[in-house]
Amino acid sequence: MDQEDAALVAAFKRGEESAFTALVIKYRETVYRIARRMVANHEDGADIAQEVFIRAHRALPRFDGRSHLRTWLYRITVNLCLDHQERRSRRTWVDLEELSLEAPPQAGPAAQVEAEMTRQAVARAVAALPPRQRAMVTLRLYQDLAYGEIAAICGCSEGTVKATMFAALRKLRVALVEQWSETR
Amino acid sequence: MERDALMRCGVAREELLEAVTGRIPPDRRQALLAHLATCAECRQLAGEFEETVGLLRAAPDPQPPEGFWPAFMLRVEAQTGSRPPLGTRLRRLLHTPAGLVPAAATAAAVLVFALSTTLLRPALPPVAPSPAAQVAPYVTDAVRSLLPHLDEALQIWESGLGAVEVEPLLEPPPPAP
Repeated sequence: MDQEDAALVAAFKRGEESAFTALVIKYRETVYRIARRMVANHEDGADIAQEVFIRAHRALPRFDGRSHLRTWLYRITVNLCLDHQERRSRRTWVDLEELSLEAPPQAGPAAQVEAEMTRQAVARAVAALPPRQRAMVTLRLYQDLAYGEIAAICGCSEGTVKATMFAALRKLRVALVEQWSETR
Repeated sequence: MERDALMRCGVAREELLEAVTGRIPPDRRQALLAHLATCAECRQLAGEFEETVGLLRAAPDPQPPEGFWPAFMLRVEAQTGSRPPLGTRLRRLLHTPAGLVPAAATAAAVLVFALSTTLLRPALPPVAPSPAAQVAPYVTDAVRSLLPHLDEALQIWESGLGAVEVEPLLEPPPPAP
């Protein structure tokens, strides 16, 4: 485990609540971004990020340090996002509708318009992936985690992560090409 | 021979995934490039993956709205009971985004005004109900007895027979002689 994290966990276990606050400050943005990319809207992403730290606070006294604290926090995040998707299985469609209703960029310099079109196209393509594929793509491409760590977070083998990533990239490619051909 | 070629493609695609989404050591990279130089199918896949990953990574990180994190910390602290010392809370208050300061100042002013008008105001003598308020419950009957046409119309309306033709409330003026 990261030395700083180990020190903070030890301090928390000794009863120093400020150590937990320091951990929240250290990881809140990454946890929020993972959740936000997985559930595709701010409110749900914020609620999930909050729940991650509430659960971590409850479970940290029993954290044995066998895995990285980061891996442990991201596993809680991914599991909460998957539960959220499971509970609201129709939500993906709502998100896709919301994304498709976003106004197409029309004003501003050409580069800005192009960047906004890319952002919307990527958001739609990623939102259309099955939740576990979305989790792996998020952890690999946006958090730069190794396949081994992603496997530990998702509770599967490294080979499964690689095969899933391969399939996800192919789907994303098809989705992006379709969107490109529609807009041009 | 063909089996060897297939295996090489399988290994190369695994390496490709590593290379495109992360990084691989230089010696493995050289081996991958050597394979791509001889295999058109893997070369095409490499181009497609590289372009796709480039697009995905070009999308900016999602950002929460301004002023989100202080509120987030307060919610987490409220839920976990890890309330920081007063000094920390005051420092956070001072770091409140400038956009929220006018709203907070207005809310504070309204609160002070409301407290000063309710708590500091001298007690007023009890006010007797106005004569109009005292007779209010009886107005309807009085009006009904004075205006028989209105009473009849109300009875029809109350019985749900509003569609029945009702005589006009006011008598038409007598024709001029």
